[in-house]
Amino acid sequence: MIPLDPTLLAAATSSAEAALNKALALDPGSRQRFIALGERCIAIVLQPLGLALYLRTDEGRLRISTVESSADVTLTGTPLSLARRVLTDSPSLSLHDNDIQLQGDATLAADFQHILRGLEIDWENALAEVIGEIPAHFMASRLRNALRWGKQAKTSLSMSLEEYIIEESGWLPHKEEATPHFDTIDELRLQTDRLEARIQRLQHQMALAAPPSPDTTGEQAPAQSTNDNSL
Amino acid sequence: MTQPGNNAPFTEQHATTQTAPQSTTHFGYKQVPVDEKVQRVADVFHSVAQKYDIMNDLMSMGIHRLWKRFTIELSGVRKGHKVLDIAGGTGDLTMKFSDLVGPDGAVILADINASMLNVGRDRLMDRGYGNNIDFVQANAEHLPFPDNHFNCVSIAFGLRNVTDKDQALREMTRVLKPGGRLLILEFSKPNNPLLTKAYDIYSFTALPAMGKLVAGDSESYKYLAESIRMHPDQETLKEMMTLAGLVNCRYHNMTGGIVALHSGTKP
Repeated sequence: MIPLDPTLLAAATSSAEAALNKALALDPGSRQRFIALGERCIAIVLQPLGLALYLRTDEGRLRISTVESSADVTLTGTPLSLARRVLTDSPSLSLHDNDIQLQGDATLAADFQHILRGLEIDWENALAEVIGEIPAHFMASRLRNALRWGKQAKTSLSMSLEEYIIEESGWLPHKEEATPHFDTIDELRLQTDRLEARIQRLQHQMALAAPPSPDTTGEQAPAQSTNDNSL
Repeated sequence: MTQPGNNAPFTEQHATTQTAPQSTTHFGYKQVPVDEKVQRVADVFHSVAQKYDIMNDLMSMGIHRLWKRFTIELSGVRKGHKVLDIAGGTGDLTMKFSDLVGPDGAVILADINASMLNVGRDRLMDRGYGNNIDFVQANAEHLPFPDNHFNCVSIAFGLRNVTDKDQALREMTRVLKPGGRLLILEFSKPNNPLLTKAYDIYSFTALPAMGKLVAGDSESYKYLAESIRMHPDQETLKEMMTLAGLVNCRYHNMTGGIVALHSGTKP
């Protein structure tokens, strides 16, 4: 492992711990699920640094440490592969992963992954703690409206573009027309591939069936003499 | 940063001093009679107690919180443990230990200086701590606790102010349970010449100036800078811990060695 100053490690773990615990505080459901886990420890070993992080659940709070301690489960992988598995909709962590090594209690790792993935943070409540409930509700409802409008605008723009390109300009065919056409092309490609394979097989069989070729010098000499005679 | 003054005239250390009145010790760069150091250190902390936390944040630019966080991480303290925080001052470590040991555990915040202890007690009470914390005014050289009692003993920025460090280390070892851990967080020697130069300039110019501006006391912060230079370096302190009877003694340099965290286990 690359030796890092404990001050830097403490700064990193302190920030990560504060952010995760704040997120848990804003999602009581996930926090309850953490409490149900009891006091457990998950070790995450980040490759290729070899840096180990120990995440300990304790009464709905997470404590992160870089000091070695006994862990219920150990996950080893690159930061990217671990983040991808925890934050995206990829399957649950298992002992059969190629990019992540798992040792220990696989159920705990899966539970942990589901809790983090299911975090639904109540941003309005968080904002209310800072600026008060009424302004927070006002801002949150405006933000929600803006997001909804953005989503609708995106759908509408996409439909309008599709209509212009297909219906008005005629640059592209309808999906109903294009699909059978593409299917025909696919079928033709398959048939061509089959034909090519068959020709190759026939050529191979012909090469095997042909009589062994006679000595080249003995055959060429009479042929040349015939030609000479005809001349 | 925290701790000792000494007003325990019945101690063995002082009995020795009475028979040899000419014996001296260092107080910063000065040599003073052993008895006088105790009073001088006490005066320093009486003077800075009220502004102690804000000065810590200013002087270390908040990094002291990270040093203390790593100390807590290394402590291995769990629910139900008994912890002694010597020279606990305003209770930064005590608060964290209190969270870790839970209602079934116990933390004792000990400090020799009454002003620091009062500030620490008020601060912890204001933050809702207290159920599992006791406050004890005690001299690190003569701890009023039974043998083999604590799972963990910590002393953060206090050891350099103790007159007889070997005696204090023996006492801390005595009160630890077998398998218990002693943690010493203290200023030490930077391991980079460039950093040492910058650190010296900062210590002897900026620190007293900040002390004068914020706490109205530049002398106390001049003493802070000097006492850091007089404190044993990393290897020497490690050797002292071994001599006190601890095993697996080691240290972690932090922020380039400006601070070191020593740990040792009672066999």
